[in-house]
Amino acid sequence: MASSELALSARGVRMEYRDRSADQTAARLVAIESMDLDVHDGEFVSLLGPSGCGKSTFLKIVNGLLGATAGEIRLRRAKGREDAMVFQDAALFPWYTVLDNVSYGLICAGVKRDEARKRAQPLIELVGLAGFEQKYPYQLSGGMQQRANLARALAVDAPLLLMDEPFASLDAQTREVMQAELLRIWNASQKTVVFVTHQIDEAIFLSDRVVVMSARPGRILADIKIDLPRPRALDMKRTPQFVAYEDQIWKLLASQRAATAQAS
Amino acid sequence: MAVESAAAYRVILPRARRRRTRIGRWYRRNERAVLGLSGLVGFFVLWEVGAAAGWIDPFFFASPTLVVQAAIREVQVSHFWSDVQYSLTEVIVGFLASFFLAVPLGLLIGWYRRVSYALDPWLNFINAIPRPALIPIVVLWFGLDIQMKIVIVFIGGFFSIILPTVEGVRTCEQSLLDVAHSFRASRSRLFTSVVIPSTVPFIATGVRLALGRLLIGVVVAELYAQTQGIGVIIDRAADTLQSDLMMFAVLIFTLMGVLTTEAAGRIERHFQRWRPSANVDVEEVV
Repeated sequence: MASSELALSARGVRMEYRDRSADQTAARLVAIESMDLDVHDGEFVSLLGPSGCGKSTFLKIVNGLLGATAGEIRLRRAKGREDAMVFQDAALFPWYTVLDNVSYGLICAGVKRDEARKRAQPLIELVGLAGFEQKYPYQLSGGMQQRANLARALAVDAPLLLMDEPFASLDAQTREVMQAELLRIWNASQKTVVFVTHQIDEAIFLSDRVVVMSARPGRILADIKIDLPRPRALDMKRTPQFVAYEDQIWKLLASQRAATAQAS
Repeated sequence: MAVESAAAYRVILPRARRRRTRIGRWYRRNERAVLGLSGLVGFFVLWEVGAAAGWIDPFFFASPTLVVQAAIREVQVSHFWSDVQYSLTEVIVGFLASFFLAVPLGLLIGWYRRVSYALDPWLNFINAIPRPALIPIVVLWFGLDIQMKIVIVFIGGFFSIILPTVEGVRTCEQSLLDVAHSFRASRSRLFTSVVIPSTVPFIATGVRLALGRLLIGVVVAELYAQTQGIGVIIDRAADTLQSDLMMFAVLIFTLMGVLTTEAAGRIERHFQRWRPSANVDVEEVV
């Protein structure tokens, strides 16, 4: 599997918000209590947890969109960008065509438009959008929008891919198709992936490791190694080993829910 | 098992569709234009008939034929065209000035919190002034000629455009700003790729508002300081009790309004090709 080099290493990452709506006494809201996470080169790691557990916040801190309150994150240096984000709900620019959306990151990095488009083209083909280069996002289905979103992140050729619940808004069937597609693309591109989701089966199916997080304040409940052979096909979701993993994680989250319910 | 007892079931059959003749199909496609046009034509016919029958006094309310005759007379007068040119200059220069000042300033105010804190009081203060009240002071500063009129027109257009522009920047979608930040877009790229495109619909709304206000500014300024322009034609015609000429002049302003609004609409649609068009005609299944 993965080599021993670390692509990402987080130590004691903590995130607090000042809650402006609350009264003075409860003015601080802890989104992430303390997070330690190591991700190896080429590894596919999922962060799994209920909504509000800070998993998306953690990705945004890694990506630099948010600043943590405390802690340290190390990303292995790369020639260009270290990391690229695949956004929730696609977040494509509605005024750009698929081709221009996918070239966006390259253009931001200073690549000339024509060159950027040329370099974007193979990624459009990789994610299965050949022939849709000149379409606007509103002309694409939800699954196709996510393909473009993925291609946009791949185009900057960063070794680490941060994926923020990219399939959450898709219908169940499209989601499964996209999961299988993601594994195919991951296999072809040899990236390290940190994938945020709240779907148990999605996390197991995709990952080498599933990191289970608690509800707010977020912290790591368990770090589960998924020992399922690759390449994986969707019918693996019905094997006993897979179901056993689902059971294990489901129980973990359920006990956590029960604990929070008692506390409140 | 076959369903035999018909009484126990409500049967839903395919709905019969009315067959249309070729004229019927043509009418359905052009229904909006046909009905709109017949409404207009009908109104003018009634007006003409009413004037001919003596229900309407053409002295106060010239009939359509009288207006057309006045128009034919007027366009042959040499100063008419210089009046039109004068008013058009006010509209065009006033609009361009307000557009090219209001849009960049609106983007700045919308984007930079501190600029907005500093300028908001002024914007609100000046915007609260009923604009015609400013005319005497503008006359004092700029005299009675075209500069003064352009300033009046400008003030009307400027505020109509800047306020929606500011609003547009502030309602810019956070997720798209995140994308730009995530890919380390430069400040100028952030503006050209996210802020400006998402503000375009708001600017377009502002422009449509501005075109209306602009023309009000032209009329008010020309009526106040009667040197030249179509407003002067209106007033002169009223003074000499020529209701036909007066209506013709009003019609020119109307035409300006219609044409500029149409042009703005076309430009707006050009910049919004990326939007699903809202008014796709529903094709009937045959």
